[in-house]
Amino acid sequence: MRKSLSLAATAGLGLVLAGSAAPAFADSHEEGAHLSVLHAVPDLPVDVYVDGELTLDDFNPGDLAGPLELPAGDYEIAITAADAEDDSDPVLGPVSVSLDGGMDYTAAAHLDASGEPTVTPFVNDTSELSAGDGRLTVRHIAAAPEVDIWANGEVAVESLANPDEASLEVPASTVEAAVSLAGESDPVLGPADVDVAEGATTIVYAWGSAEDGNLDLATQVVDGMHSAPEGVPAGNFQVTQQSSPAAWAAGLGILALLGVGAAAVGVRAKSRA
Amino acid sequence: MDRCHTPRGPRRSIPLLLVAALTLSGCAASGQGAAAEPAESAVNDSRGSEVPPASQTPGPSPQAGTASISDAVPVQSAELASIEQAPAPVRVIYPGIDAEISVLAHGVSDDGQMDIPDDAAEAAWYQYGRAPADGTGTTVIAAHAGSTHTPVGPLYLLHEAQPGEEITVEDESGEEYLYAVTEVEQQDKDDLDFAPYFTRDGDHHLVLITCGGQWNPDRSSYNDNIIVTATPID
Repeated sequence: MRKSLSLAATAGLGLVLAGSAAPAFADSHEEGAHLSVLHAVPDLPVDVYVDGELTLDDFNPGDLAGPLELPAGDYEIAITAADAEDDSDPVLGPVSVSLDGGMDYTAAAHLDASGEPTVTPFVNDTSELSAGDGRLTVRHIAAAPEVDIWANGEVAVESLANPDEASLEVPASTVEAAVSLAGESDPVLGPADVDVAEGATTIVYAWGSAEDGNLDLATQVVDGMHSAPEGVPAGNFQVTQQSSPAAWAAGLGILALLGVGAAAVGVRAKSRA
Repeated sequence: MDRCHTPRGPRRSIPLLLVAALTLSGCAASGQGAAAEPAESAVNDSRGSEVPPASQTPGPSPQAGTASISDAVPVQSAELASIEQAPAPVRVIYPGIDAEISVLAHGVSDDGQMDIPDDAAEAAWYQYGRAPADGTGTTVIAAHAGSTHTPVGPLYLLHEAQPGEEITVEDESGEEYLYAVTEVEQQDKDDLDFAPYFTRDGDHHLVLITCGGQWNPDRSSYNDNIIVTATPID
């Protein structure tokens, strides 16, 4: 039982890694890995052990922990009932995860499509975004059939199955998001406003169980992918000699010489010269 | 409740005091404010300055022996929530160049450049960057040197900025932030890497940008950016 779960999770991680567009982190072996943990199994407070050490005590459904910065390497995650003495009798796992330096992961404890608890280690896309853009990632981790993801009234992702994910890069904004069963238009979740932050990956999880009527949305934001604008075009109008302050001051100076300028004007002209 | 007052007694060994401290924080957390206050000072009395007061003990931890890294892992609700934004800057006052300019939140144009109001009388704050209240990274504010409406913009004289001059930024909450100029640069737009000026981490700076240098008729723009960096002062 344990072995098969462990294998399944490792295989899942391999798939996710292969599926994500190779983030440019080849030279970051020295860096640690970031790991967050999302609890998306309804009605089941748990403890989370990493390599046998109690890492999260009384972790509740709908909560997100982390990010933990860990040295790159292999870790064993076990999830027990919240009143367990140690990790010898996990309700989930132990699962093995391989964390690479410079990468960002979320281990989600959730229900599979048929309602059984499972753990899926997701790799969060931290590749750089263009200035002004945000990345919206949607993950289906609910006990529910395939779904369509709607953004601002249109289908943005079709037929997403548990435990798959999809990502879009969009101008940073508030997106009205909804989830329907695949091919249908009535939302089973939402519509809800999701802030897609600039320079960050905003992850929206559909979790819970359709059968139990407790489907819900959860979010996670991973930031630090911003880039600077390509330029600051602050001068498309030539400030001419005639209109420059110096010329204006000189003009005032002449007026002053002519005896027209008041003392106050003279002071101002001086400060501008 | 009586247990809250036990530390008032004679001094005990350190392990016992530790237990007492944990008990105290438990009392405080249970909402017994009146009891918690004297108890807290009792802890200070009996333990001196080496130990922080009970009120700073992070989260009640009933089992003193099982302290683990779990104390250090932040846990939050993953419920959908709006992003909280720091108050936007609304005005820059720079007496050294006789400038006062109102500031509007702007993002990025379709061409990937910073979006700046057409009228040189108004400046843009890069809304995706940091606000003065964030206290980290850079607050970038830019304006045209001049425009049809405003032939000589308030920031036109930025090239005459001098290190040490003071700049005040006011935000929409009415808070004022004071900075001193540390660097005045004139950079060729063509090979300018803006990343160091658009940071979100590290020390907080104010960055004011306009255009200057040689007017380039071919691209109807100036060749250079004038960049003034300023650091917060108290």
